[in-house]
Amino acid sequence: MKTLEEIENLSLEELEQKAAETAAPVPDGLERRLREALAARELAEAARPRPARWIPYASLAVAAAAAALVALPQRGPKDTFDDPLLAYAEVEKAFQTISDKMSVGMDIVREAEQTADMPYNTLNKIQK
Amino acid sequence: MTNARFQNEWLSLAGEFYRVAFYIIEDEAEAEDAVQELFLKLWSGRDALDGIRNPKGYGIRVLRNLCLDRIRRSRKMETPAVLPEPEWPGRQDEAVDEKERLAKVLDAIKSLPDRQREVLTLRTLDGLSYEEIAERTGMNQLTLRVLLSQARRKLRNVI
Repeated sequence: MKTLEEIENLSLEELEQKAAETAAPVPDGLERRLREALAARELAEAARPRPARWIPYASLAVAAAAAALVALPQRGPKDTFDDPLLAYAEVEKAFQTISDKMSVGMDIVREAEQTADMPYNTLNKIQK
Repeated sequence: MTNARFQNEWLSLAGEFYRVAFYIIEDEAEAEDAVQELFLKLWSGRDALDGIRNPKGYGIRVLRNLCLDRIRRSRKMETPAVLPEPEWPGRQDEAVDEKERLAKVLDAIKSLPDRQREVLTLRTLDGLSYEEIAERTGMNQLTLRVLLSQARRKLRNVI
């Protein structure tokens, strides 16, 4: 039996030449069996379980949604302001809103007062 | 590299590779296994084979290393020692799974009737169309489809 060193010391050309000199018979059907092994590799590769392809895309979508939540300005009224002028304007706006609502309310009260006075006024007119 | 080119340039060297493996290992079955290992390795990296000008020289060099590894492994097996813990157990498990799957598929292919095996190999490995397989084998396309379907069904059970 050959030693490892013996083989390692041979150049590729020498190895090829010595192998050819032995003229060992090549087994029947070697090439066919090799082709079958390669086909098996293809099929095994195709059948190999792979991680679902949607997972990276779903992760990206979740990350993008989280980033959007953090980065986008919040809707609705803010309750604090860095700029005093903006704060003043916001307070003024709030008071204006309250005033408008109150004006409407006052109009309704005045209207109600007039309606409530009507019987009294009518009675007064009758008595006169 | 296309499948056809791989087969023309590399698979045609199988006999010469076998003689080299046999010269080193001096065992027919082991030599054939080594040649099969060589071709599976080449096939996996066939995209990188385009730039190789001397396929025979390259193949012999890789084969010599594979054969030497086999001899070293067999010598270690002869003198059993305490097995070291694998450094990457996950990856080793995957490699074992791959090998087991490949062995199962290969056994299943070998167990197929000749005509099914031939059609399956031409379709899977050579990527031939039904027309081309019909031309090459002389079978009609309906027969081919039936044979291929039967072969796939058997393999699906194994895989």
